[in-house]
Formats: sequence, C-alpha cells, structure tokens
Amino acid sequence: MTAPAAPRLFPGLSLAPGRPRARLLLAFLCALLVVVALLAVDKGAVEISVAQQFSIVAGKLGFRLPWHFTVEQEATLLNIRLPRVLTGLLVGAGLGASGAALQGLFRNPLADPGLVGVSSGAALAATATVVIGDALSLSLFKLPAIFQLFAFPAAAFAGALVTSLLVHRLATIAGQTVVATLLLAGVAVNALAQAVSGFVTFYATDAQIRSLTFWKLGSLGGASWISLGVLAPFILVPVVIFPRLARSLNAMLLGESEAGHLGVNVERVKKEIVVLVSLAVGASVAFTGLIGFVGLVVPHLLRLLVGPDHRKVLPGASLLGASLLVGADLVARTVAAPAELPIGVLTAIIGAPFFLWLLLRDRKWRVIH
Amino acid sequence: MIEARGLEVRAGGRALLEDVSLAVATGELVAVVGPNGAGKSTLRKALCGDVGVARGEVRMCGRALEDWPPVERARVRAVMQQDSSLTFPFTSLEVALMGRLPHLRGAEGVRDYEIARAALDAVEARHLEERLYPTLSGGERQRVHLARVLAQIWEHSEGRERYLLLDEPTSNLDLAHQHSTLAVARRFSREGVGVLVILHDLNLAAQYADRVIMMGGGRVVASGSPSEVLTREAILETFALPVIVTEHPQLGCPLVVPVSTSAVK
Amino acid sequence: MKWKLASRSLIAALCLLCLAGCRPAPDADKQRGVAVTDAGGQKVSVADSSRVVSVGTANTETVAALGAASRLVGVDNTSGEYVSEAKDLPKVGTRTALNAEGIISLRPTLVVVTSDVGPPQVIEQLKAGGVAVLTLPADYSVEAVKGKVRTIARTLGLDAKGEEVAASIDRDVEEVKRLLSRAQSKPKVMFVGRGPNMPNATTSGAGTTIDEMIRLAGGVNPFDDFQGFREMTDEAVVRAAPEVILMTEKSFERSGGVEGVLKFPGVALTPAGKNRRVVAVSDEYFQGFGPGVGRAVRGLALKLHPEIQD
Repeated sequence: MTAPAAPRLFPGLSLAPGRPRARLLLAFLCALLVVVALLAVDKGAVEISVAQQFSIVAGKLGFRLPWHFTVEQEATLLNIRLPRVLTGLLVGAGLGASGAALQGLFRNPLADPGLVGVSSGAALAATATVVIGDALSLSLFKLPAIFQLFAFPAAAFAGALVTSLLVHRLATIAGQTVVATLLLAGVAVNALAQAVSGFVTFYATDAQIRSLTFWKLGSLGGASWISLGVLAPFILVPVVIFPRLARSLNAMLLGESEAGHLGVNVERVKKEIVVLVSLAVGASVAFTGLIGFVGLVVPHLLRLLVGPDHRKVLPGASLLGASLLVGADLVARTVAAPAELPIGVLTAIIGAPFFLWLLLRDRKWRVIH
Repeated sequence: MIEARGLEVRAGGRALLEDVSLAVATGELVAVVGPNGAGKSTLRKALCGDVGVARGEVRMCGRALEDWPPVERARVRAVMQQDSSLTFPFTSLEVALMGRLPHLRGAEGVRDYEIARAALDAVEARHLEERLYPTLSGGERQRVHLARVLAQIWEHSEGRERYLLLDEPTSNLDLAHQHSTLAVARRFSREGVGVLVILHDLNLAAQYADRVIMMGGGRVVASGSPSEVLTREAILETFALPVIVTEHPQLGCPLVVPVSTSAVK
Repeated sequence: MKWKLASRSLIAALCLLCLAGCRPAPDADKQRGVAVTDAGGQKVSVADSSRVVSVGTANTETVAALGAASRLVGVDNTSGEYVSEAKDLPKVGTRTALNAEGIISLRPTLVVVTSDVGPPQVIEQLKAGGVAVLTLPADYSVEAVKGKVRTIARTLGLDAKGEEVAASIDRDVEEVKRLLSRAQSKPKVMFVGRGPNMPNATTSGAGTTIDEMIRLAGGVNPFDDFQGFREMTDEAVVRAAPEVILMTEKSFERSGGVEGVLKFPGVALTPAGKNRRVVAVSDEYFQGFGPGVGRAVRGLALKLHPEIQD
C-alpha cells in the first residue's frame, strides 16, 4: 500500500467515500436552501410573526385565517420580502452555477465571472444602453413596458457574451488555458470596462449617473414581481441545462482534444457554456448589479466536499449559491436596520479571505497551477 | 482497418508530413519510430483528425474520418496523448472511469466500474485507485491515462472493430513499467484490437511490434517487420546514429545497440 | 434524478408564489386628507403626517424649519450629518441606497424624498406598503426652494408656517440683493472640491447648486460650458482666470490650506492664486438648496465682496 490518500477535506474530517455521500450532501443542500429561504422570508426590519405570514399568504389565495395583519405587513411580505428572497435565490443559483461552469470551461478553479471580467462586461453593456440610448433620443422609457424590461438583461447578456468570448480567445493557447493569461485577461477586461464606463458616465447627465452607480454596489433592493418574472427564465434555463453538460465538462477537464477523443463535441459544449453563463450573469448584473465572489467560493466549497465531478458540483453550486446569497442578503438588511449594507461588501468579506486561504492551501497540494 | 493515404500536413509554409500512407489492421501492433521532428506526433494527430490535412485522407473501417459522429468514433477508437493537463483532484479510479464515457447511457453502471478497475489492474495502478491525480508522479499519471484509454475500448462495441492509438506511452515510465505497458498493448492486439504505438525506444518496437514504420523528415522511410526495418543502414541514415543490430538472445527479434561515435569513421 | 425532482418542485413553488403575489397592492390614495402634486405631476393624498421619514438634507432642513422636527422618525445619513435636529434619529441609509423595508419598519405615515433617490423601485414599494410618499423635484433655484417649502408645509398641514419660511427666504434674498448693489465687482469664482476619496480636485460647471449659489452671491462661474463636476486641468483653469477660489472648510483643510490649494493644476497662474484669494465656507452651504439658502447666499456674498458689509 502506498502513501495514504490525500484528504479532499480539512484533514481530520472524513466522510464515507463514494456516491451515497454525494446524494446525502445534495439532500442536505436542498434542506439548507429551504431553511435559509424560510428564515429570510420570516426575518426583516418589519416584524411579522409566522402566524401572520401564514395569514397573509392564505389571504392572497382566498382563505381567511384568524391572525390579523396590517397593510404594511402584507405589502412588506408580499411586495418587498418575497420578491427579494426569490430574486436572491435565483441570482445566487445563477452565479454559483456559472462559476462552476466557467471553472470547467477554463479548466481552472480560479475562474469566476467577476475575476474573469464577464460581470464587468455585462454592467458596461447595460450602462452603455442607458446613456447611448438617451443620447440617440431612443429613450428606453418611451418603449412599451415589455421591451423596457427585457432591454437591460438583453444588453447585459450581449456584453457578457462578448467578454466571455474575448477572454476565452485571449487565454487559450493551443487548446490549453494559460492561467496567468486568464487572470491578466480578466484584469485587462475589468480595467477596460471601468475606463469605458467612466468615459460614458462622463458624458452622462446627473440623472443617468444616479441610476447607474446603483449597479456598481450590487443590491437586491429593487426586486419586484415583475423584475422576477423577467429574470427567472434567464437564470432557470442555464441552471437546468448546466447539469446536462456535466459529463462533457468532466471530460473536457482532461483537455479539449482528449475530450474530443472521448466523443465530446467540444466546440458545441464550449459555445453552450459561454451562452448559458452569459445569460445568467448578464441578467443577474442587469437586475442586481455587481455581486462578486459567489461564483468563486461556492464551486470550491462543493469540490472540497464532493470532489470535482461536475455532476455533483453543478447542481450543488446552484443550491449552495442560492442559500449563500439569500443568507448574505438577510444579514445585509437586518444587521444595520433600518439601513442596509451593500451585499457586495458581504460577499467580499466572505469571499476574499476564502480566496486567500485557497491560494495558501494550494501551495501544499498544487491543485491550482 | 485504419488507413491513411497520401497525407500531407503543412504548417507555416513547411511540410510536417509529406505523402504519408499507412494502414493499421485489427489484431496487429504497429510501432512508429523516428527521430525528433520526424512527424510522428503529427501523424498521430492527422490519424485522429486533430489536425487538418492539406492533402490525402484517413479512413476508419472503410468510412472517411469526417463521417464518423464523435460518440460512435469514440466507442471504436481510443487515443492516448503525450501530455495531459488535468489539474482537478479526481481520483485515479474516476479518471479511468472517464474512459467509459462514450458507452454510458445514464450514470456509470457496475460493469463500468469493473472495467475501470480491471484497466487499472492491467497497468499495475490498482493500488492508486483512491489517490488524487494531482498528487501522482509523472509515471503514475501516465499509467492512469493508459488505464482510461484501455477502459474505453475494453469490450467490443456492437461487435465492431477496436483501435488503440498510443503516443509515446512510455516516456515517463521506468523500465519495468515500459515493458508491462507494451505487454498490455500487445495483449490487446492479440484480442483483436488494432494498435498503433509511437515509440522512441527502438528495442521496445523490435520486441513488441508486428510491424514497424520508420519516419524521417515527414515521410515514411521504411515499413515492414522489425527485422526488415530496423537495419544498421536505415538507422544510421534516419537517426544519424551508428548502431550494431544483433539478434536478441532470448526473443529472436532484432536488438539495436548504439556504438560510440569515436569507434566509427 | 433527485436534481430533476428538486428543480421541478422549485419551479412549481415559484409559479405558485408568483400567482399569489400578482394582485394589485392596496390603494393608498383613497384615503382622505391633504392632496398635493408631487415631482412626477401625480396627485398624492396625505391623510396623516404625524410620523415622517425625510430623505435629503434640504427636505430635512425644511421640516425642521417648519417646526415639525418632532414628527421625524427617520432620516437619511447625510441629513443626520448636517441637520442638528436629526442627528440622533434612526438612519435609513444613503439617498441612493435606500431600503424600503427598513423605512417601513419605522412605521412612518409620510416619506419625503427627492426624485433622484435609489433604487428607483423603493418609491413604489413604499406606496404599496400604504405609506404616502411625497416626491420633490431635484431643482436648484430660489423659486424651487420656496415651492418645496410650501409643498412640504401644505403636506404637514402647516401652511401658515410655510408661508413664513418662504417669506423669510425672500427677505434673505432681498437683503443679499441690497448688499450686492454696493458690490464693486463681479468676481470670477472657481469652486474647487476635494472629497476624501478623490485623488484629484474637481470644479463645478453649470447646473449644480454651487453654480447657482455663486450666481446669487454676485459672482460668475467661469466654467459654464459643461454640466456637473469635472476634474481640474491646468489649461482650463488658467484660461478661466478666476479671481476667487471657493471651497468648503473640510476640503480646504484636506487640501492643506492655501499652500496646498496653490499646488492644484493651474491655480498658481490665476489671479486668485497670485492674490492668494481663497474663500472657505461652511459645508452646509452646499448641501442642496434648503430653507437656509438665503442665509447661505448672504454668507457667501459677504465673503466674496467684503466691501458690502453693513
């Protein structure tokens, strides 16, 4: 027997190996999601007891329950909190799964929509849409409402798509991803997006700027049922399709030509991933601004617990990402009530130390090259 | 039968392969030898469709390579490349299991696990089953990839022919493992798999191959049985290395022995 | 397998919730009470103005000037900084990053905001919560200030007091005009701003509160060819040739006094730089046009034209 297997987890903590563990974990993540979501709906700046919550929901479905509630409580629960929590679930799932998919695509655990510049590209496109549209007197606000709603996520999707393709082209040499180039490409794209964004806002009117700076901080505060309705397909489609690409992604981790020899249609898979990631990230940025680190932290945690098999990582990343974001948002809006902390700050507080820890740990196992 | 006819591959104005024709039939082990830059890897890439050919064509089982849908092709032909860049912490067993991908309908079944383990056994890497790939040595990694590739064509798929292309599978291996690897390759060829192996070591080619193809300067210089191809003159001409070719004391195949240059005019 | 089931049930739950939420919110405007027209031209009915959340320093100052500070239950961060009556009140965040639920938790009956608050959805969320929201335009002019004072006063049921405050603004402005009639110059005044997180100094163009104040105080803003704030450049500054440099006290200190200011792009080559004429005024002067605008303009006018002092 040669040296003992290197631990995937923190040394000292072991779980039974094999597939039962993964199933157990996914079930646990589902349960966690439900618990976090219920907690998030229950807690908030406005006090609403559980009984009242039931009353409110029952009331909307046509039943009367004996617990009274005020108009403010009803509006808060149904029009502010519920859409907000659901938006958080969707965006968290989208960002988590997109991070996992990007890491598979680039064959590198450091790829994250924010680091790699995809989020900035999306934000820039949405910014440009407002300002340029106004400049050309094509004010979006004059279009029928349905176009208005879809205009931002569509523009952000286009921005994310262009950026993903650009970064992929820059960072891939002879079919291999060169990590240093990947990260540099991300830095370059982020810098470019900042510069162009600065240029655009320079010429923007004050009113436009105010609606744009909101994006930079990231917030779930603007969530409404309508925005949720538009956001949902942009996120659910990728989240549901990603796990189907899991096996191909696993094979692609061996290398693009090796995956081809295993029968994977590599070009098609790459295109699908890029499009799906752009949809999810673009829509998230359009509706909730820039929220970083979720796409980096979540897949990593998953891989530590269940290994790098995408068949477990992809669905797990959606579940965990949703829980994480909703949990972080809960903290953001209760800790400093009645004000709220920017959610990007919270994800950074969790994500940045985690990132540092990853790099430290990697010096031992050399998993990140 | 994998056939190549009149292959020509160009890059940057240079011809990497020129007018190369060869065939690999089922049940035989063909070794491709040649000095660095002779075009061996390019030939492998052309045979796999990984590189575009300016002229000529490749056919597998009578069908042009482009006409094979990727999954069907993967059920019939497995390729092991020289270098692999896997950086994620899969276990060796998981890597070997990936070879079963083209055959899967849904999740892996019991049989797939059996095959993966048997493949690891065949390359003497079974004890590495639970080890994480990034923690393995170069030689261990190479054997795990070989196991994956063997697992891919372990069984007949719909009674079809099977092929195995190995590009320098022994480069990181110690002497014992070099031989066991080629022994496995030969065993597979005896079971009906058509095997093409690119080798640096002429003696390994001599010992294990049914046919040897010697390449030089992008062309096929010689093709035939080991004793026909591995002659003193051919080796001197192609490798610029003076050798003595004698007979292996036990196996009867050619034994190539380099001699010191100072002893030759 | 498990994943398909989980995702399908999640989608189903989502649809159910969407259906639950898709009914119109309670109609807040049906209540009786004061009717005012807000910035969007919409009519707003305010039945009860006993608990007020005010967002925007000018708005908070107005509420205080009307003697209704006791009705305030929450303000935005900046109001808390600049309006003494609001210092100890709960803070609802910054004007551009409000939290509707947080505001609702203070149980206000009226929320006063400017039209540029963010996120924009907050206003709708508050209305849906049954809270009356008065949206005021973000205009800068003395007339606009008086208009806002009157609107807020009307909403709070303090019409008479509102007229008083408006009248006092008028008096202050008249006083300034009287003083300025003695002014012997109309100096070119360049505003220089240096915020805590900004590496470079900026100056103000047209369309800002500062621009308006300079004009009211009997000065001229040489930078009238652009809107908003821009970074200073050597050439632009020298070409503008300002005679006075105007800063807030905090910026002045942060820049290192007169010596520091002289180091800004181009300043040393301007008449203001050569005469070392730097005027530092209290930060409150520029926090949006509120009821104290008259006094602020007077203070600025005196600093720009020391000769007009009574």
